[in-house]
Amino acid sequence: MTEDMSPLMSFFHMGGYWPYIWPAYGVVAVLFIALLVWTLVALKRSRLELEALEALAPRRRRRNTTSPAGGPDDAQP
Amino acid sequence: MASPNPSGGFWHRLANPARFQRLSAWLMPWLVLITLGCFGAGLYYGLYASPIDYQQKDTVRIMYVHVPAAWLAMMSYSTLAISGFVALVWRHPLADVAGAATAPIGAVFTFLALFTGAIWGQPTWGTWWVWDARLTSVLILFFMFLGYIAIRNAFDDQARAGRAASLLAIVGVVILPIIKFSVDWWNTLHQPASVSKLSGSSMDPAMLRPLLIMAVAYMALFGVLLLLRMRLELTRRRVEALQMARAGAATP
Amino acid sequence: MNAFMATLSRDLLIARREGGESLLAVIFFVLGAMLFPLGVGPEGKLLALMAAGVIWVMALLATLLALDRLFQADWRDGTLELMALAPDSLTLVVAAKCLAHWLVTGLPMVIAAPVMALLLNLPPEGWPPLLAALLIGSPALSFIGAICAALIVGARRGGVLMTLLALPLYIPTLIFGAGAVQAAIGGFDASAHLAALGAITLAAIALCPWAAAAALRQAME
Repeated sequence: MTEDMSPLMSFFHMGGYWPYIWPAYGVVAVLFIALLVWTLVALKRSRLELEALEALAPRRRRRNTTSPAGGPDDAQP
Repeated sequence: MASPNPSGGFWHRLANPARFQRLSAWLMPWLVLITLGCFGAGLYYGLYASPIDYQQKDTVRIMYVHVPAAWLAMMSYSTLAISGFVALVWRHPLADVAGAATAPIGAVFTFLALFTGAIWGQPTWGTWWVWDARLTSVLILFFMFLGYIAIRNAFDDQARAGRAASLLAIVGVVILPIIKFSVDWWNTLHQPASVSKLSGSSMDPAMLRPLLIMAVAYMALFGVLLLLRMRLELTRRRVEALQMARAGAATP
Repeated sequence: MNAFMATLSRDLLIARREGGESLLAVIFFVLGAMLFPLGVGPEGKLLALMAAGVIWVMALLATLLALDRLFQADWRDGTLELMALAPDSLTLVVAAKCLAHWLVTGLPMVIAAPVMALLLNLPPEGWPPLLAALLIGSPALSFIGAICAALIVGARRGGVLMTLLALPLYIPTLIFGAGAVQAAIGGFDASAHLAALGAITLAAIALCPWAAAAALRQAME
């Protein structure tokens, strides 16, 4: 049966081990992509929140100054 | 920001969040490029242009996703420990951020090492889980990541959470070699004579190539994820600081 | 040295006053071991194979159960802060507390071990190495566990979290402790295991009080 497989099919067939190899690679891909997407979505949401909060306090000095020692509200992370 | 280290220089300038953002913005495209390029080449060589193993046949290809995952799991924990050390000793504010950012990444790499290791074990040894020395050590490492994440979440006071987690990471990295040593010992006592085949019986250079390319791909991906999560963590902290300031100003 | 003896006698006195509460860990130790035959069946050979491991795992869990008490009470009533502010070394104080903890929890487990060995059908060759291993290794459990107890002092739901943190750290002790007994049963020499166990305990006694004190200071910042 393996003899009359096209080269593409025999590539996917992986010598009969396809149920192991493809799920393995697949889960790796899925988890990496999921971690990336989750991070990017959370980053976007967080940035929107930050913009909203900064818009509410216009007289506060913009945090993107380059002075290394900030004002009294420079929170120690 | 007082620091016991007078010659801060580069690292001190980096502590400024704006500078960090600029540096990470500059670095990011390169990392993304390396990630995509190496994954492309690694998948090509790993899945297509590399030989099959004499005994394991095609299943040896799982090694190209499993072994780099295990390496990155160790590298992630080392990052946790180093950032913990820097956070406690030099109080560098980015160190704590780096630790918080790394933990979930490390947990994912560790889980992938376990999962792909299990899949590799089934056709090789006929069983989904085997108490082989490396898999057992990686399983323990997985719980050490979970412990780090749990202790970070156990305190409302973020500063306290950071200090406790940093200390835990340092203690963990000291004990990790001892754990590895004792698990290796335990494994040689209880395993039958067959040598672990999971490392690949012969490291043909044609097999080494995809392995190393994938390892670089994983490392670049780690860099991308780390920078992104550090930005996320910094943004979250600023949000929280602003919210607390507003709450403080609101009370009469 | 004065702070050491003072803390030691204080902790022992508190334990004596608490009475039954200090023995809870040992009771849990024996009770847990009793559950295994009920779970896996009373077949002698099976129990004999598992005995060393079961006894050691129960020792780990029982120690963790008792570790809660190490710092929490002192933290809550402010005594810990006083200890940290005192001129005497916090490391010595912590070392004394660990020793007291072992005397109250670990040592009774060593004494209860023959009962466990009987219940779990441990072969006679395993009894001396079991007692030796528990005697040598149980201090390591108290001292290593102290670091985890110090890290989470004052946290909510600290007990369960402490278990998650401590169990990976306990694994070398478990491997060499149970390994010593199993080696002896198999006819091999257990001294290498016991030596490794001794090394772990000595290192733990030397280093853990310092690490735990550092953790306590971080908690009180």
